[in-house]
Amino acid sequence: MNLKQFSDLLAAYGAEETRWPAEIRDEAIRYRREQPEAIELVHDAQALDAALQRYEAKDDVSRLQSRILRQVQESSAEPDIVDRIWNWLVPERAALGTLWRPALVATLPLLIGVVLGGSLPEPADPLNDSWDDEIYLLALGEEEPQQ
Amino acid sequence: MTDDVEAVLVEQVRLGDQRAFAEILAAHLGPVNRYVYRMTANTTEAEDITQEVFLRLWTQAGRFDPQKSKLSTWLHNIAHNLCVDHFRKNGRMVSGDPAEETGGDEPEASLIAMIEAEDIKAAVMQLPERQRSALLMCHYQGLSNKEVAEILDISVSALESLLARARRTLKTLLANGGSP
Repeated sequence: MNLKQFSDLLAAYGAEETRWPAEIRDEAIRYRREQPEAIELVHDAQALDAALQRYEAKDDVSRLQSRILRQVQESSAEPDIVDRIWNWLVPERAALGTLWRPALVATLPLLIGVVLGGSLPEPADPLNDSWDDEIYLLALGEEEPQQ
Repeated sequence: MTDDVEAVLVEQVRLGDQRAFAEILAAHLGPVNRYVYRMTANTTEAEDITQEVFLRLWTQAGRFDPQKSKLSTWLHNIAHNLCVDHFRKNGRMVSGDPAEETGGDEPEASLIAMIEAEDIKAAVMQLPERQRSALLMCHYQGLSNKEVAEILDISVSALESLLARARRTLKTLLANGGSP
């Protein structure tokens, strides 16, 4: 390690060695110990570190914690029937094996149509209409009773 | 809490285990909230954003991959993105980099040592969001340079440039009483 590298290290991470990257920490600690010119650089970086440490953030998060837990409990209440159907249809982690569910639902209208169509009576075929009946009835009408 | 234990807890959260969620919340709420507070400098906004971070943990636990990162890194990633979204929505992105507008010698360490906490808070808020986030995560949150680089989606050397600029800017702002 040289002075420039040590200077760049302090410029980025400050003087506190616990913040230095693990891979160069030991080498930097040795450099700091052995090189007099490192001392002033460390001193400058320490001043900013100390100033940053005075920027405190609130530690008491108990109210926020309760609020988040309450929200999670409310969101975990038993889902209604629509949500349950939807969650079954499209699980959170839709693996390939579960794709049959939405595929099945998508083909349902087709299946219903096929079943309904098959159960309906066949429509009358005009070509095979009951002319026979007509002719028979006409023939009955032509026969006069013999007196 | 070790990484393995956390991975198991997150898997339990994914299955809807509220007790596992409460355990993770207890361990990580404080650090995440402190990061978000220092990003926003506003208690109410910080609490709303922090709440959203953990609600995403509850609803999207399946997205956490313990092979790719630690839980704290994942949570900070969500927090960082939510903060940036928040600033964009509220028109609070800091444009420009105060450090580039300054010149001259670095201010004396003795001046900086006398700065009050409110001045530091104000100076940190003047940093561009990426510099602020990088500095907060490295200095206060105990994340490694690799973890922070991953969150910001930059290389480690780019992160170090970002950090150096942030610290240089802060020194100048603090020495000049808050102006560049």
